[in-house]
Amino acid sequence: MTNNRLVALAASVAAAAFLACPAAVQAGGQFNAALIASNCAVCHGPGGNSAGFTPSLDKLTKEEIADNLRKFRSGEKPSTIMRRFAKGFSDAQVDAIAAQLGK
Amino acid sequence: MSKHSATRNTRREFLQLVGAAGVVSALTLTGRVSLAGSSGRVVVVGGGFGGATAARYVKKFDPGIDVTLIEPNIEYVTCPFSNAVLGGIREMTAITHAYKGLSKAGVKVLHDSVSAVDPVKKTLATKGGDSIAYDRLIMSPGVDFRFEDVPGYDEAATRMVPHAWKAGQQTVNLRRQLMAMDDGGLVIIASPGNPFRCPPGPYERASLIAYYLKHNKPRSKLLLLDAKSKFSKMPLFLEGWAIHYKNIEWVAGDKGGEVIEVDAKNRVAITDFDKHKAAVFNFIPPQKAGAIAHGAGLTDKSGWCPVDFSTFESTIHKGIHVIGDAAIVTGMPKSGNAANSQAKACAVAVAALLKGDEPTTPMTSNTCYSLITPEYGISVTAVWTASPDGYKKNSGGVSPKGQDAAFRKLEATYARGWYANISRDIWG
Repeated sequence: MTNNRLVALAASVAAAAFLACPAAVQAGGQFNAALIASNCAVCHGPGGNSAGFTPSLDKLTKEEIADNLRKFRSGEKPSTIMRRFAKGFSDAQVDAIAAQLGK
Repeated sequence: MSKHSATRNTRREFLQLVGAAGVVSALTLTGRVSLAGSSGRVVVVGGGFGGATAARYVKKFDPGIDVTLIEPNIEYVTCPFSNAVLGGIREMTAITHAYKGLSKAGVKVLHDSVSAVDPVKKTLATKGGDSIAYDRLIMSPGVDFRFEDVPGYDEAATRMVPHAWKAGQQTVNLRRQLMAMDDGGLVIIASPGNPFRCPPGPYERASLIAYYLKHNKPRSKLLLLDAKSKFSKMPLFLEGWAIHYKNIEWVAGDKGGEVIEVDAKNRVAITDFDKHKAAVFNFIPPQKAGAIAHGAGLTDKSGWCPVDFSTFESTIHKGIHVIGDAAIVTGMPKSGNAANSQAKACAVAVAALLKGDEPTTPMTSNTCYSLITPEYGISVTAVWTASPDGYKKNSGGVSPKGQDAAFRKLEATYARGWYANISRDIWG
């Protein structure tokens, strides 16, 4: 195995560790992105894959999710419930949620 | 049965229950244990909104942890949307969930009841005779009723006068009574004082029973007797009732609405001022933490379980976490969604504690829809951050009044979406 391959493997292991264990990676941080994003599942389905009636999020990019959350938060994009939700999140939290759920 | 043989039986039962899915997840685990870098045994008691979520998410946040869920029932019937069953717009099968999805997710599901918890030895005993050790125990015991506070109402009385506040046979019983009632019969719902499970629940129930009466028993009325003078989403419910229902009469607590005694045999609700005879009487009793929490010594004099707000660890017994309706979580309501969100926060904390890490400050949320008709929904929502004093609201509130039919229909549609998706998140 070449050094490059080892580096690539190490990187993928690190990524897998992040996915498998977000709590540890986030420990000591101000908030846990995986925890916040997990709460989206109750309306939008596990991993943002909705069973129907509500929009799926898993086909959207990170940028689209962050943009939508900001527009809901400002009221620029009309909503029934999302403005009330999005107002609870800082810019950093919006970006972290988008990174968790977006493609 | 000796403790030794009980333990062997447990393992054999687990293998049978988990089956092939368990083997697959065990193989997956081997690859991830070193990455996750932790292990330990977490036992979760109670397979409802809180417990089933906690079991799934401990495993999800750290697949190296061995997770066992103990739940006596083979299937769980949800309180959310049980009011839709009472209103005749949803079947019982649509609110009933099995545990196969949790087994597939790598959770060992044991259908048994817990008879004793030893917080010092960190073991619990089951009625089936097993003794199970844990590193961290998560309890989601739900509610039980304060029968002792209401003369005339006890377990036997629930057959004539169902509470239907734990969904299942009680829901079926109340639905059958409504269907069998003559047109013109009086339906009484008695709503308890705070705190209790699902604060908007009695008012959604009144709405959907009134919907059934309006379309099937147009001469019947619904009398809603309340211990409280204000209730959850009150302006929205009153607005919706003014549009849709002339058959609901609400009597506030400060107008003598509190039912202080029940004559179950005659279906009579007794208040300080009056006796009301019902054709169908749904008495929602005052509540306390589920019996198992009292048995394990996790409750304080309020009858509920005090916990640390960042980890949900009991402030009475270390190593035991309590989530959901049974826990005192200042700032958050006792709702299925709140239990789901607390369970996720608790799962993160438990995974961190087992690794020896410092838990992060959790954020939680809640979305609670109520149906006033099948096409008219209202909502309340909130996002919270934990603090030493409880959960502080970042944002939230109820949906606006005065909206058109399209807005209300969208909220009713999203209510169905919430149910479909939270069910998959937990039991799917």
